Amino acid sequence: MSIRVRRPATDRLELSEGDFLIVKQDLTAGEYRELMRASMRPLLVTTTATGAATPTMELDPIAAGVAMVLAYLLDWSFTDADGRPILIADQPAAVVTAALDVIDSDAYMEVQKAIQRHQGARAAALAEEKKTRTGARAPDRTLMSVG
Amino acid sequence: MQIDEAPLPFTAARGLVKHAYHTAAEVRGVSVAIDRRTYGGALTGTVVSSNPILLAQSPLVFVVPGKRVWRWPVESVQVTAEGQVIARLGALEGM
Repeated sequence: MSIRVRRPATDRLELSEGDFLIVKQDLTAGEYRELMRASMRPLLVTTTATGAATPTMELDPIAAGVAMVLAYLLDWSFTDADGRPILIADQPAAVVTAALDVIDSDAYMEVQKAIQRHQGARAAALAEEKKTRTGARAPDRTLMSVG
Repeated sequence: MQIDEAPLPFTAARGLVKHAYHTAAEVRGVSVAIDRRTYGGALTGTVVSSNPILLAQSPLVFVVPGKRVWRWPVESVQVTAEGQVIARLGALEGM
């Protein structure tokens, strides 16, 4: 039997000018599903022969970027123009989204790229971990009623 | 009960029961009766979302976010069938 739930861990990502982000090290299945859901947009594909429209989904690259930031970001060191902290820790997603909307576009892109790099690094680390993981296989559990 | 032994009432619009950074439950209409000696207390409120697996994890903390963050360790917690949270909080860790 293997452990399939990770202890929640965070990473600190350093940015320019001494700023930093606190991010989730990894996403849970639920967080990953929400990331996928928020990254897609509905699309109607029309078949030329019949003219029938079939609903489907396609990746929305803009929404996918914001969804990834929202999925990982827990806190940051950013302040407003008066030097007051922009509070995002433990705030509802709408508040974090609003904060991401008001920061400079350069700052947003720095945040998104830092989280993309983090995601790539973690994917590589997890793939490596999988290769080296060994586990004794426990005997199959059989229900008495069907045993 | 003397007046100075009465619990300190604390209210907030929103609070979170957390396991590390995971939100185990989001609570609206937060009310904490704070014990004047221990600064622990009894939490009540309405649960708007919860995850029973996360609520069974340890340790849990109750956080009221904002400019001044209130944070208590959760000693016990239960969500009633009516969607109310009832929790026993340990000594206030920070504000």
